[in-house]
Amino acid sequence: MKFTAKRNLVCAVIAATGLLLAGCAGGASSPVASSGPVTITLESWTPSQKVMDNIVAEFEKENPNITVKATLLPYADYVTAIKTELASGTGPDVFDLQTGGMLNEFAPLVTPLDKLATSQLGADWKSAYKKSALDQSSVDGAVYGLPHGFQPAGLLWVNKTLLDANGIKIPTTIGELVTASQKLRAAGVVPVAIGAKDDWMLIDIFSSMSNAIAPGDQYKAMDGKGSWDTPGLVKAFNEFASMFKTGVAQDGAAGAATYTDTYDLYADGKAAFFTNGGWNQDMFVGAADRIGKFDSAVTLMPTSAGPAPVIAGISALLAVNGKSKNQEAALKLAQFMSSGPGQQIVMDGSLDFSVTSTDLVPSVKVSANASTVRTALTAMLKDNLAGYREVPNAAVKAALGQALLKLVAGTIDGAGAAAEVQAAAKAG
Amino acid sequence: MSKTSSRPATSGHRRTDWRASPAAILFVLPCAAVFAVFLAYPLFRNAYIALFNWNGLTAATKWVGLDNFVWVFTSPVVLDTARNTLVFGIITIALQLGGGFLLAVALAGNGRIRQVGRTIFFIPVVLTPVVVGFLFSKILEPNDGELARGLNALGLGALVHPWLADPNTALVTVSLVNVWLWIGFSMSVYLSALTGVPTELIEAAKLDGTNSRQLVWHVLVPYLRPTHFALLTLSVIGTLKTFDIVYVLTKGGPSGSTELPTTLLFRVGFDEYKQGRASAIGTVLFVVALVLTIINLRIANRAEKTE
Amino acid sequence: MKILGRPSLLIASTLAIVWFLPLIALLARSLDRAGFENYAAVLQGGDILRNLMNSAIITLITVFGVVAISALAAFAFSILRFPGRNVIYGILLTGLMLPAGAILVPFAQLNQAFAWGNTYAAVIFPYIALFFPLGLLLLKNAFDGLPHELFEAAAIDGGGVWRMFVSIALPLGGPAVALVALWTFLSTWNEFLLALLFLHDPAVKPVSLVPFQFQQQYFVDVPKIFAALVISQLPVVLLYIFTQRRFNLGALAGIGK
Repeated sequence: MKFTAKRNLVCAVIAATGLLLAGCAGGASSPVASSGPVTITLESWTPSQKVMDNIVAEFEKENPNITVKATLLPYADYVTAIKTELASGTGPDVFDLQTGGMLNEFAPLVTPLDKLATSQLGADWKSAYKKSALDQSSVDGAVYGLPHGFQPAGLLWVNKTLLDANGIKIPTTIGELVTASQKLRAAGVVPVAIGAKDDWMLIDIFSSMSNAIAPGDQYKAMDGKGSWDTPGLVKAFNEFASMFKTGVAQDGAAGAATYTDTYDLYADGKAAFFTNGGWNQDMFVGAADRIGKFDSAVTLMPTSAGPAPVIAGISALLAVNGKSKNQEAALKLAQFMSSGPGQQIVMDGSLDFSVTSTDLVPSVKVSANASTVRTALTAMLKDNLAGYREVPNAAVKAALGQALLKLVAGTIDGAGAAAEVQAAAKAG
Repeated sequence: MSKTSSRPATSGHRRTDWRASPAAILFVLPCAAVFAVFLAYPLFRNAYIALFNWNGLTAATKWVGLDNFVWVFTSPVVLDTARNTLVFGIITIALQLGGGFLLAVALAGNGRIRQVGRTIFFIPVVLTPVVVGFLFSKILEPNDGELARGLNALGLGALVHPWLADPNTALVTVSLVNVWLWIGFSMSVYLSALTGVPTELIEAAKLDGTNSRQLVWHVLVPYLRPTHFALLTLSVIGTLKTFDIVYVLTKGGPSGSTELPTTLLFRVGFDEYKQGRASAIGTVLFVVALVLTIINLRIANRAEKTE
Repeated sequence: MKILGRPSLLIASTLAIVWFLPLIALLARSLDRAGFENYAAVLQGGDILRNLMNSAIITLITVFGVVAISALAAFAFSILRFPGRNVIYGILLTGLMLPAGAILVPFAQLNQAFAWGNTYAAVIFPYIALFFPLGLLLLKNAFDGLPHELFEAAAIDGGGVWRMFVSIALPLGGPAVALVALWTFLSTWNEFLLALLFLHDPAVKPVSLVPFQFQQQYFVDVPKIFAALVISQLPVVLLYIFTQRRFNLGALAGIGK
């Protein structure tokens, strides 16, 4: 590059200034140029243990002075644990956050990256990531974590082999889905495996459906510019609930967790459809032998208004603990995992889409089926994307999840659900 | 309290002195210290937190006085947990105490079969509730679980139902799993108590021609009254503190039908980031347990005095 | 001593078979798909043996702590005399009624203050606090039942209260002490909430967190998760089976007094 020398000089000056300023700031959180070996801790709910072990091994090879202790927990338990840890001052140096509500709540405890990243990674550290990903990692314009992973949600996985065997075409409207479900049930096949015990799954499904049935209403409500009880959204709530009354969802959906009840139903070839997001591609790596027995496809959720667009967001962002004593090393690991070689390892293990400005692609060999699915998902992201995935306000997200769970259980109707979420939104 | 006389039959000062030993403080100190630091302080701190709105995470807090407590006593969500606790408690306690007693009576005595039987009932007690929850959520799965498959095989397919997923059946289902888990405990307590029953009493009754039902109902049940009360007290407290098994089985769902105060406390604190409210629930829960225990002990004492 | 006859035994036995079925399901599921391979994989995975060791350490220290402090206090409340004796006893017993979930946040704050994060101490102290009230209750009742002449005799012999405690109360209260020890052992071994929240370093994780941990590791390989569950429960089940006879819960039968 032509301006390398000059750019390097500029970077050096900025870096030096940054270090000077940081040094003057004092306190436990000022990055100390560590000369001795350090140990840093990381916590997250993703990726899988095996992938994480690979990442740690590679990182430690590149950084012999740094030892990494990584702990992984299932999502719900992770959130509980990280919250308690941060509250009791024992939090890890680096940890994952979800964008939206979680980020908003945790921001005060995380080191804003603008200074830290600039001083360590260079002034143009932001250019390594897509702008939309950085936006999802920011609060009020300040970036709080390095984004990683990107997946569409609110879509349907299809066991094409089962459909073909029963002479069913992929449905595009809810009516077609109901008919198909009845036909599948008669043949002893589970129609749509929905993990309705998981509030996040229900929120994904509903959010994509609502964008077809009542385009834009939900985003307006979430951005504080509208309300949740518009006629369109009430209709969307009701249509969502109907799936559990017309035999579309499997029996006992309310008690099934995506991981691994409905996941197993699909992977073992017992369900024709499976609600899950693009991250389910990791099936082609983690359960390849089971999945290999049939042909998989992905399609958009059918609604009365046609196929619903997907929603998408970054999988998570890696944040540096504001109280960490090893901020530099922590950031190094975060960068390694989000845009460095670590991201490639994650991609190979989970077949994620990347948020780096230069797209990374999985380098592992996958089946032809995996490739066609990936192409389809890429097309969805390009042509059928409604907007962001995570609900910005934690209390509203909790209320939405609870309302959807009640809709599944049949204890309230669409209007009731809308009213509940609206009440939570108003209470702020 | 102690049945022994508090005034030993002695003469003179010296012999009663040793009971008033100043060393008593040293004996009680460790307990008191642990209690003060790790129970009393957290309890009061928790009550203090309940006076604020706090997300449990950052430093920002807002004083709201008794608002959170008012919420506890008026919120339909909280009142639902009270109702659930009542249902859960009644089923659990009735079956555990009643069933435990009958099992103890049936399995008392030596012999291989009896011993094996007793062991089988007690093994669930030593298992981790988390493991049990995980296991039963799979067993109760209506599409594929062992129970569904078993019923189908027996031709009772009509009984198959999404037990844990239907708000109408979830609470009873969870209660029954809880009974599976704990009945061995009540059984064991009753078994031990039964060893204290004088054999002459039973022999005499049998000689008189009492049949089994009368023996159990008219002789053993009254004789074991202290045990009933002891178990009742422990069971009530245990019910109010139940968390593990419900959390793993249903997390309080579906639709709040299995929500107990403890699971609600958890959800409000961790999912809704409303620690003030969660703390208020915790404080009220403790007070309720305290009141119920005192009432229970009063009744037990009165019953004993009328014997 | 046998109380009821054959018919009741038959009913109870049938019920026992039903009771045992879930355990069979547990074993069956752990052998799904790969058979004993599941167990091999889990044991080789490395951590579970360390988890078992952590559980053992945490539990043994807790048991010792609970037995020690509750025996000492129970002796004082039962045998000695001092002002406010009953009131203090009652206050200490209120600890029985406190659900752990209600005081999670203060525990977290205490851990921060003492800098005990990710150490055994972070859970041992809360456990001792949560479990000693029952120990106190059981032991005081046990000591109450001891014949006072023994203590009188020792007093006349000129023995101090400490000697009375060690040579009379403890030995004679043996069964109750054993019960408290066993019960505390079970409660501690199976506790998962505090462990989940306060122990994250793999070096200190106990075995009660195995289900959560293995969900991450054997993500979709459920049979292996079940194999891990069986392994994690085996020590306690075996312990129970071999100490059955000592498990005399009679001490609990008298607490209404």
